[in-house]
Amino acid sequence: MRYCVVGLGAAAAQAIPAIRSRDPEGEITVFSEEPWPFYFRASLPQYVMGKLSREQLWGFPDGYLESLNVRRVTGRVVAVDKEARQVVTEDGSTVPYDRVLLGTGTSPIKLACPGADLGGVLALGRMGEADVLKGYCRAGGRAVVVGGGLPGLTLARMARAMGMACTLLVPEDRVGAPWLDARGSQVLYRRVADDGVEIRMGEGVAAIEGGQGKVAAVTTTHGKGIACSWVGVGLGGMPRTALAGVMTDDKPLKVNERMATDVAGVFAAGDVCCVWDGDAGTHRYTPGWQAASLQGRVAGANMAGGRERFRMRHSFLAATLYDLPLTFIGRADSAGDAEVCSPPQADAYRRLVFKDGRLVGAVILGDRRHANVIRRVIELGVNARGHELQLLRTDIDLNHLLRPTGEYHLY
Amino acid sequence: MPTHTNGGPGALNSIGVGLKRKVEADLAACIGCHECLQACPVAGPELRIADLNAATVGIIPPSDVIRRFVWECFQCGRCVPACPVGLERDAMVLWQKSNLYPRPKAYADQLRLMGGGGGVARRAEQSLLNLQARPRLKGLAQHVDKRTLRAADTLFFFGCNIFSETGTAAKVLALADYLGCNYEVLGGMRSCCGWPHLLSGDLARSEELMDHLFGRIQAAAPREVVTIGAECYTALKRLVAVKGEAFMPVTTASWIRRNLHRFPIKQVADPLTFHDACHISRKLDEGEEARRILRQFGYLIEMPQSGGNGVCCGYHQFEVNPAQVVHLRKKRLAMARQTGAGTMVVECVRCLEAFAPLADEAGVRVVDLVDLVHDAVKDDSRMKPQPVHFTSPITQGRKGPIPAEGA
Ligand SMILES: Cc1cc2nc3c(=O)[nH]c(=O)nc-3n(C[C@H](O)[C@H](O)[C@H](O)COP(=O)(O)OP(=O)(O)OC[C@H]3O[C@@H](n4cnc5c(N)ncnc54)[C@H](O)[C@@H]3O)c2cc1C
Ligand code: SF4
Ligand code: SF4
Repeated sequence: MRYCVVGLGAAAAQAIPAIRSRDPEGEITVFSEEPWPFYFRASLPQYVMGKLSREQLWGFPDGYLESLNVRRVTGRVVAVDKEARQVVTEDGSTVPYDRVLLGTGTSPIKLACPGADLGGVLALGRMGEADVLKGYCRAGGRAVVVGGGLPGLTLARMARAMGMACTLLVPEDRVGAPWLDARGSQVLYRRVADDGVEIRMGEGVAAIEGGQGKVAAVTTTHGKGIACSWVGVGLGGMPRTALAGVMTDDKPLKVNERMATDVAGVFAAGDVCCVWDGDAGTHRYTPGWQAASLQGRVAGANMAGGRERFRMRHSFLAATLYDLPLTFIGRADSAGDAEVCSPPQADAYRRLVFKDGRLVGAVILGDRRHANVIRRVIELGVNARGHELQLLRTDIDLNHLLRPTGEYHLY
Repeated sequence: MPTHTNGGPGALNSIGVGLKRKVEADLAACIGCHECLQACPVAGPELRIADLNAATVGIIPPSDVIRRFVWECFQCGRCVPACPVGLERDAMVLWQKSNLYPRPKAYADQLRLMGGGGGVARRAEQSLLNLQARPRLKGLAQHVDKRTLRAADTLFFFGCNIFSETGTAAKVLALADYLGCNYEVLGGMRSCCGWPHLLSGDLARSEELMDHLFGRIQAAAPREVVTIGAECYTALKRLVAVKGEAFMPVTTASWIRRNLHRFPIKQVADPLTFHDACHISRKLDEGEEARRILRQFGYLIEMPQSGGNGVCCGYHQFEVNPAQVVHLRKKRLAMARQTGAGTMVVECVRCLEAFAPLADEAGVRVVDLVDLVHDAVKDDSRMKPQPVHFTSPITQGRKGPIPAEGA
């Protein structure tokens, strides 16, 4: 059997060993346009801030791919020829496959304004971009970052940590959107402002001016001019679907629970795809490192003849911004029929959403105590009626809610 | 012998099944930021997350560096609040401990006598220990491994800590007598709570002992069960969460605090500082109880690393790498000294055993909360005399390769 894996990110990293453990003989070829070994993409901010060395970012033990007898091709794949069953790279060479995995992730959303392609207009999605960003941060001055979601806030935090002045343009109506509601957003807003970031709400970039091909200033949608040495684009990513043959538009690629697309022999995993959720009767898009890894594992196993399913009915996203732990579990949007919130404090806020007496979503800012219990209460569909207010508290043990399972969580 | 055997669920008890599920999900979410290792007291800079994660799931055999780290891990939990994405590195390392063979001999030595069952040899050795300890334990000796418990409101559960040379168990009972409590006592190796086994990775034995302990406690049908060890307390918390609220687990700190109005208070002239027990302050977030008492006894100054950010005494890992553990303990005592406090108070008998032998050299007094209260009441006429003395349980530190089991 011949396997091709396109991309070497979180999904591919789990798919490859999963294939190999089921098929010790098959030929595996992995394509990556980045020259690096598999690395922890989500830790790039720590790398930029000098907290991690490049070697610490490598995601595999040294020599791991070689030990699995995997051929690695550095270069961009431009097409998957589903008739001839081969992968086509940018230099025109082809590699035949019986099964192919598309794990191409996302590419950063670009600004569409004049000057958007000047040098110093930067996003952070790749090691190469991280290296460039490092250079700009060292040069000092002011950064203008656009985007009030997690990517934008991460860029602002990085700029400040590197000693730069920073202006954050938030085109949305709040920071932390879409994850945070207005109250939770206030908590985060304070943190960002206290870090010395100048926040301009409801304002975006109208134009970027430069000299000698490099950024010099930004004009905001309110007409304000801000001199700066780089512009951070923190608008998130779009599924990287521009692969001739199998992917056309910029919507996530649809796969079933076995991570197979409807093209024979073609699988997809990670941020590039959305997975069929039988219970909800719809495809769901759950980007993030954990989902990508778990999907990659399932895809790899199934490519090599397994019958595994990916099921993650409850999304889980956790991050730490401005020393404030943020945890989002399940559906804290409009899915519920009741909700309880704690009063927002400087370092804590909780919002829990219930439906038919069961907890379906949680937003936890600050102390993650009992977040794991809450997560299991959601995952297992435990009846939480009568415990709604208890679930908001950090000072009492919630483990009893899981009694039928015998599980015990210390944090 | 296998180097890594992450067995299937069939081979696992219920703690293992939950742990495996959690570890697999957590590893998939690990973004490799190294924050857990940076917060860890035992991980060195040579340890890389990629290698550790791969070894955790058994896809590469553990290197010597990883092996050493896994065995040396205190299970103190400092790594958990450090993780930006909410993962529990301590659970991942525990999973490794449970799968990594051969185990260090120090583990086996430490656990050999703890817990009931295990055939004639262990029982004989335990009986011998009981006999030898009898003169030293005095009144406490009657409670060691006793067969029947009478019903009582309060059960003092000491387990193996009844033997502690700190004398904490005897002092607590003296306080109970002073108050005129209706109590019963459960102690001895055969009623070990099993938490030390859990921390060493012996999940099956741990669960067996916890189940056994639950049965024994039910015999006394107590309202509350008071412990002098942070880990025993955690084991009791787990039991009531998993099996039902048959009783209320209580630390000595909260037992004392509830009765504080009935004890005399003797102010300590020098300022006090408090060393948090990892299980109570970080894992269960109950470090405030002890502090409330301390503020009555004197002026409390916090160390820079305190509360949920406290550092571990390394009790269980002492034998695995004594030199490292002693070094960390000395650092902790120096930190206490730097606050200007004359006394460092602890609330777990294991922390006391860990620090007290090094206290003189560090120039700071180390006492248990129980000692403070006991000091205050001991001259009271209602108090029965309880001779207590401290002898060092700590032998000289040594550094060298970890001896494997049976080595
Ligand atoms: C700065 C930053 C911080 C983040 N923080 C977090 C976090 O805290 N928590 C979290 O859960 N997630 C976080 N994420 C998101 C997380 O990194 C992604 O969800 C995850 O990497 C997705 O994995 P993937 O395998 O789908 O794709 P990716 O990891 O993006 O890998 C795709 C790979 O495919 C390659 N590729 C794409 N197209 C081609 C082609 N045509 N030919 C050859 N190679 C190609 C790309 O170069 C890339 O190497 C963060 C992301 C970034 C950038
Ligand atoms: S539990 Fe403590 S010793 Fe073990 S890895 Fe975590 S921080 Fe390190
Ligand atoms: S802190 Fe968390 S995410 Fe970072 S390396 Fe450790 S376990 Fe992984």
